[in-house]
Parts: sequence; structure tokens; C-alpha cells
Amino acid sequence: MTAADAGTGSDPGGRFDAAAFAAVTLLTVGAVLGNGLLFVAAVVPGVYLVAEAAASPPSPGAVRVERSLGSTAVPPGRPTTVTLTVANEGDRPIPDCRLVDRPPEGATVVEGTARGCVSVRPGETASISYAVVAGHGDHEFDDPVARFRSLSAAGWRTARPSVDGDATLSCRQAAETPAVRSAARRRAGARAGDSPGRGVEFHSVREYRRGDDVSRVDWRRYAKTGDLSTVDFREPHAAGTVVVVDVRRPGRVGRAPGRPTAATLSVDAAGRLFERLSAAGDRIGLSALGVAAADVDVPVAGDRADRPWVPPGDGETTRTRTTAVLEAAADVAAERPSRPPPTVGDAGRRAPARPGALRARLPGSAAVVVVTPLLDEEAAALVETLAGADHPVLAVSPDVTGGDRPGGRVAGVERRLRLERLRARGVEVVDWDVAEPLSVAVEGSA
Amino acid sequence: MSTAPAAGRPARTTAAGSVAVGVVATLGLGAATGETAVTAVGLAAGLALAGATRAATDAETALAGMLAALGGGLGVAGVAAVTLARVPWPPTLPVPFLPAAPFLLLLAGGLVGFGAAATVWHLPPAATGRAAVAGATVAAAPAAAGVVAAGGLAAAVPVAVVAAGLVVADRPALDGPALVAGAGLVVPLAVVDGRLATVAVEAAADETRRRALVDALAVTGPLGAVAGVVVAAPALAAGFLLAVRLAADTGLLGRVAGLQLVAAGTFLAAVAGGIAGTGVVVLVGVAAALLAWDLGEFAATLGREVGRGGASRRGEFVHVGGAVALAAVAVVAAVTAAGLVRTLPASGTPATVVAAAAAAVGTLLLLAALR
Repeated sequence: MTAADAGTGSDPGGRFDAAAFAAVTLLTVGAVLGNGLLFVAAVVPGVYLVAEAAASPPSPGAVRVERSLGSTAVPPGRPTTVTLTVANEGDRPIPDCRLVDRPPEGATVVEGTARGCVSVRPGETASISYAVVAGHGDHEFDDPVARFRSLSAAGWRTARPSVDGDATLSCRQAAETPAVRSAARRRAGARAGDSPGRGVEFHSVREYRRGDDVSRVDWRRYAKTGDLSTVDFREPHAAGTVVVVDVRRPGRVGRAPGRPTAATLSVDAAGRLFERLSAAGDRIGLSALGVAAADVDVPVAGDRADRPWVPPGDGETTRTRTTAVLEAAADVAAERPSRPPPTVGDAGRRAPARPGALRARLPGSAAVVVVTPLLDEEAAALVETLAGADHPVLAVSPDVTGGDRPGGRVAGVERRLRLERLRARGVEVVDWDVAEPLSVAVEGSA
Repeated sequence: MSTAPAAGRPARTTAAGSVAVGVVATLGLGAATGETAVTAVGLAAGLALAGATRAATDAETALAGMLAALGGGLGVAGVAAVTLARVPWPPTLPVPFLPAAPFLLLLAGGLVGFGAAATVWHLPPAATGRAAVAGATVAAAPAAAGVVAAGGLAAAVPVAVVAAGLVVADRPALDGPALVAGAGLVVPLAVVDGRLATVAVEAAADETRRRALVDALAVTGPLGAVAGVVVAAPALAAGFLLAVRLAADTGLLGRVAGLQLVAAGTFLAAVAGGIAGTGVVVLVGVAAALLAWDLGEFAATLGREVGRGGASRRGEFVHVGGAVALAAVAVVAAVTAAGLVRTLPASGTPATVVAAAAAAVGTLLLLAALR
């Protein structure tokens, strides 16, 4: 321990006062009543006073504190064990060392507490452990606070020991490369475009319209009939894939207080899918349900419901806009509603998914990846509508339901029924148990 | 610590140890003094009063009032038992000087019982006020009945005026269920009052005392006398509870009031044992009181700084071991000192008593100034 003492002191209203009070009372009562035994009984609190005056709290310098994390790099939402080990390197026993570890602001203790009281003999070690869950980012642990007391616990000495070992918890999705490649290959991108236009493969012939490229006019037909007509060729590029991330209000709940919300997990998953699909060379678009287009930092188009819409593309502009939309979505997703909606049905009515507005923007045959926790009827209806409109749809659904409370279990059953319904309609659904990495869920469904 | 959250319940193992030491030591001192029954009655009364406080925090005012009346009734019964064991029935003025030890043991039992239950249930001392009000509310109807029974129509008019005034003022303190519960007590009283008076008069020790009792009953009426006893029970309970509340408000009791009351009760029992002259047991009792305080204080700071969720079992055991060893050393030292003192010649003159008292008060003042 290298840090200086943060202070010494004694507990207010502590043992010293009680013993002094007892001594004075016994002396007074014994003297007034002429009771020798009561008078002599004042020796008992006297011994306490002497013991407390003689005791001094152990020196913090004899202690080495080490923190170890179960894993220094985990995906957001995954619990990690933190163990704080105290080694007594001095030659005096430390009967009472109270430790308060200070986990990062962004982390929540989910198991045990970051506090403990240990008693360490010279050469021994003792430890406390707890588990934390953190959101995305790097999280720095603060040095713990340690308070030392002697055996009689009369006075204390507080210190901020500097800590060996791990001090940073890194929460990144990149911590585990998600193998969504298979999903991408099967579902999205690399699809021949079905829309007519410029190209080499014949698609159809239609009437000439002003502005058509003169090289596409069917001159042979003009020579025969005198009608101007234009040859359409199959568009050579993919129609693209649109990632729809659902951060509407019903999804802004976590499995437990302090855990990331389902919406946050959806945004994380959408971001990773986006990376994976664009790495595979697809043209990717993005829409975020539950976000206002005006809330995005860079100017983006909106759909009829004023939700951000990034059309499929593979350029730098698309990337910038997508990043901005995902950031805005992550901000919205982390806002838990001050009061949970009374019932799931109500929540659905209050947060319409408006599939019509989305469909108006979707290119005719674009593949759609919907990332939604499926916690309300609207989300399932959206997926059904898109599938019904002949878009190839893949739904990726983080599961935050379950847990000990009846409400969570009911929500879990309802979600499972929605999942089954979607699967029965031929929609491929990836059910992602958030305790597992996304890659496992996707591989498992593949 | 600076980073600790606001309130934490005292650490479980040590708090349980503190309560156990207090209860066992108090009962032991009661037994050594030959007043086991009185101490046990005090413990029961304390438990009932703690139950009343708990019911009051749950807004069960009727239950709180009845439990307060029960606790107060046990207290009255204890006082009556101690008194009647030494004074012939009915007690007439002037009452002779009675030994203080049994009364102190009764109070000590009450403090320990209340403190133990308050620790287990984690009762805030502020809640005792509500329980006291509930107890007083239960006493309202019997009190009114007693006044009417003693004073007749002339007394009924002012009672009715006061009742009407309270109803008009709509005092929230006078809770309906508790008032109804108190009114329910009046009915059995009215049934048994005549028979009780007969039994009481026949039990009188001699003719003079019998005549005095008959005269007193003639003034109050039988129902008035019984109602007076019934009123005394909630009054005693309210007095105890309000004293706890007052001690908490003046800062004498901290957040772990229960543990402090256990230690204070044990100490009181030890003093009572000393006054009764029970010998070396007193030294053990004083040490037990300080041990209970030590453990309670440790449990409180540990609960505040680490909380019940934290790993603290080993640290607690180490401290309990150290505290027991310290108490044992203190007992040995005190027994040795007592043995030495016995060999010295006694010299208790009034002057030395005054000097010792002055020195003690001076020490107290010095300590108060130092804080």
C-alpha cells in the first residue's frame, strides 16, 4: 500500500463514552449508597478504558491490496467477478480491515457487495468478491477505501490503498467477434437486383420516356414500327439490406436494475450486424424505430413517421449517417421510462411501430434485418408486415425476459408466443439469450 | 466511511451476540437477586411494548394500543407484585420504604426486552411516539367511564363536552380503531367490577385496612377503581415509550437504539444486583453490560460501513473473541480489586461520600465539556 493515510478517528458515541459513563455511574452509586462492591465494579469499565487507550489501529502500510477481474474484456451486460485480495505483509495481525471497493460509475454490482470486513494474520491473505455488469466502454475502478481497527475496534485509521492488478474493465462487442457471416450470406446482400435499369442482362422493354439514355432506345423496333421504346436491363448491384433497430419504449427495460436495457442490446447487435454486413461488401441501410430524425447529430432523411432513414449504400456518407443514428439510438435506448407501462398491451398502443412508414422507404426487394426485443405486439406485427410484403426478413431478438418476478416470466411467455408465431409464418428469428454472445445465438440458429 | 450509503442494519452475527449476552446476563442477575419472576415479567412487558411499536409502524393502531396496554399491564402487575410481597393489602399511606432492586430489575427487564425486539425488528425509536399515542387512545374510553362512574352525572357532562370537542376538532391522533378497542375494554370491566371489589375487600389484611378500602371504593365507585387500574397500564406504557422517544430525540440513543437499550438494561440489572448485595456476580454483570455494548457498537459500525451483504463473518468472530477476552480480563481485574479492598479497613464517613460524589460529578462534567 503506497497511498497516504486518509485519516484517523473514532466512532462518535463510541465505547469510550459508554465505559466512562459506566465508571462514573458505578463510582457515584457505590459512594452514595456506601456500597463497596459497586464502587469496586468501576474497575471493569476502567479496564475497558485502559484497553482502548492502549490499542492503536494497525498501520495501513503493512497491507497489499490486489484486484483481479474474472475477465478484463467482456461484452456489455455480461457479469464479471471482481476479487479484492488483502495480503498482510507486516508482522502484526490485522483483526479488522473494512474494505469498500469503488467500482466504476458505469458498472452495477449484481452479486454480493463491493464491501467486506476481513481479518488477516501476518503472511495471510483474505479476499472479498462480487460481480459487476457494465455497459459499453472502458470502465476504470477507483482505489478502494480501507479502514483499519484494532482488536478492541476503538479507533480507526482510513486509507486509500493503491491497488495492484486489474483496474480497467473493458466492455466491447469486439471482445468477441460475432460470427454473423453465415446469417449475412444466407439472407442479406449478394442478391441479384430485381429492379430494371442499366446493365447488360436483358430485363424488359417499355415505352420511351423523356430522359432515357439514348443508348438504351430500341432502334431496331423504331425502324420497324416507328414507336420509341427503351430496353431495361437487370440492375447489376444488390438491392441492399436494411437493418431496422427497435428502441421503442417497451424495449427500454432490463432484466434487472442496472442491467443494459433490451433496447441497448438491440442497438449493440444492430451495430455489429452493420459492421459485419458492410465488411461482406453489402449495401446497408438503417432505420431506427423510436428515434426522432431530428435527434440525430448529422442531417439524415426521415420517413413518414419522422424516424431516421439511411438508404442502402456502401459509401462514407452511409457510414457516417449510420454511426450517428446508432449513437442517437443508443442514447434513447438507455433512457428507462420513469414508470413502467402498466400492461404490455398498453405499451404497444403507446409506441406504434408504423410499418407503413418504413415500407414506403424500403427499396422494393431489399432484405430486412429487424433487431427487436419483441416485447410488444407492434414489433411482431412489423416483422409480419414486412415479411408479408415479400421482403426477406431476418429478426434478431435479444431476450431480457425471465428472472424471478412473475411479470418477467409473463413477458417471457408472451415473447415466446410471438417468436413461435413469426417462425410459423416462415420468418427466420434469432432468439438471443443475452447471457450468451450474439455469435452463439446466430450460429445456433444457422 | 465517506463512501458508505446512508443506513445499514447492524451486522447480524454480532448483533445477535449482543442481544443474547444482554438477555442472559439480565435473567441471570435477576435469578441471583432472587427476582427471576419480576425480571421475566419486565422482559415480557418490554417485548409487548416493542410489539406495540412495530404494530404502530405498520399503522395497526388498534393492535398497537392493545399491545401497549398489555405491556403496561404487565408493568403494573410487576410493580403490584413487588409491592404486595412486602406491604399488606391494601397499601395505605404512608407506604414504607421499599427495596429499589426489584423495581430496577423490572425496568431493566423492560429495557432489555424492548431493546432485543427492537433490534430484531429494526424498529426506529421515532416510532415509539405513535405507539404511545395508540396506547393513550386505548385508555381514553376506560378513563372516561371511570370518571363518569366516580362522579356520576356531574362528571358525565364535562366528559361529554371533551369528547364532543375532540370529535369536532377531528384530532387525527385519536385513531378510530384504537378508540373502539378501548371502549370494548369497558364492557368486561362493567361486568366484573362488583365482584372484584368484593374480592379486594375480603382480601384485606386487617380491619383498619378493610375500612380504608371500603371508604376509597365509596368515593370512586367500584368501576372507577378498576378503570383507574386499567388506565394506569396504558399510562405506564406511554410513559416508557415516550421516555425512549425523548432519549432518542435528545441524541442519547443512536440509530441502533435497540442495542443501546439492551446494554443499558443489562447495566441497570447489574446495578440492581449490586444494591441487593448479590456479591461477585455484579462484576460479571457489569462486564456483560459492557460486552453487550461493545458487540452492539461493533455491529452498528460494521452494518453502517460494510452492510449485511458484505463478507464479514470472520472479522465478526475475531472481534467477538477479542471482546469476550477483554470482558474476562476486566472481570478478573475487578474480582482481584474487590479482594484487595475487602482487606482494607472500611472508612465510609459522610465527608468521603460527598468527596467521591463531587469527584464523580466533576468527571462527568469534564467528559461532557470534552465532547
